[in-house]
Amino acid sequence: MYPLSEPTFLILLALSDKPMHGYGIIKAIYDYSEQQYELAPGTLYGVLKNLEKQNLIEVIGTDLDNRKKKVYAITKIGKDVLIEEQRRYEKLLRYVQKVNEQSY
Amino acid sequence: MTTKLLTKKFASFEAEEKWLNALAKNGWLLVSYRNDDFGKTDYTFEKHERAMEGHYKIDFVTFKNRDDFDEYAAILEEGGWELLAKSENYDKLISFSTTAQRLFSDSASASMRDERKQKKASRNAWIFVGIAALCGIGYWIFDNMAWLAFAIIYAATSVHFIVTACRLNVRLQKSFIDLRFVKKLLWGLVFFGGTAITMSLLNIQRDFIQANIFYFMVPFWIGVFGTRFIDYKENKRTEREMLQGEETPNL
Repeated sequence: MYPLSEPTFLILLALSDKPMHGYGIIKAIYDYSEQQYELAPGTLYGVLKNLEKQNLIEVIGTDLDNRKKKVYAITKIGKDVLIEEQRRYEKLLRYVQKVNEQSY
Repeated sequence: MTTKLLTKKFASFEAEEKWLNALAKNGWLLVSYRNDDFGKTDYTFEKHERAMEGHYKIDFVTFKNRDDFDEYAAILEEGGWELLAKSENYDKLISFSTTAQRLFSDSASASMRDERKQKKASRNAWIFVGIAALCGIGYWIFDNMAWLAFAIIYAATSVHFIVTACRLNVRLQKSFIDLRFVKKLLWGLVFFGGTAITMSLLNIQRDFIQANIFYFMVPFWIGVFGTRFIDYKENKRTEREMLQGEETPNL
């Protein structure tokens, strides 16, 4: 498995919290990250379709207020991939910290 | 209201965006457009003040149905983009925005539009090559010029899609010709020859097939050896990659 792109990781992470519709994911990431990450809508749609094709997420219904908005949820495979990615980031961060400590 | 019509063809989405933005700077707002399947687009512009405050971005998506299109439009709208396409029949999607919000977060996701366009072009190439081949076989069996005419028309049309698919492959830094594509084509030859030989064994059209056995056996063997050759090449490449190690360092 190749490392996931940053937007892909952020979307999987957001969906692991609770199922959401497309723009809701952008807002959730924006709010949780304290305005650090703001995904662009074109990127979001492309990543959602890729994730759906790979069975990492699935459509579980439509939004109650707007029938046009599909609600996505993370799958079991998606959760496994997310955990693996999280470990990879932790490993990377530990390495970065180690290098920084040495250089001071 | 001044309305202007323009028809143009672009080599890349970037060039098209640049052109649209230049027109916007001069107050020309794109109000509608229509794609033909061969890369040309008819644009309708109107003179509007607000054109000067915004910019355009192009995406390429093949929608499965109306629901997918509506979802895309809803996401873009909430993200501060105005989608100009009106139905799921558009695959090149031009959007206009007066906000600072981008359409793509990074260059990797921006190149996904080229990937999707490549996929669609190669699928179209397949369809047209397939129909041309069927018409060719029709001409061969029925000996009627109409079949040949159709075969030529479809073959000529497929050239556009083959060129587009190959060019996008280069842009995406993949090899010029997708080996998997060639392999599928070669399997097609194996299937074609194999079917004819099986038919003759089952006494269907036996005389015709045996009289033309050369035309069935040659593609069959080209297909068999060609696929073996590609497998061999791919195997060699995988082995080389494995010995050289992964591209991304494992930290």
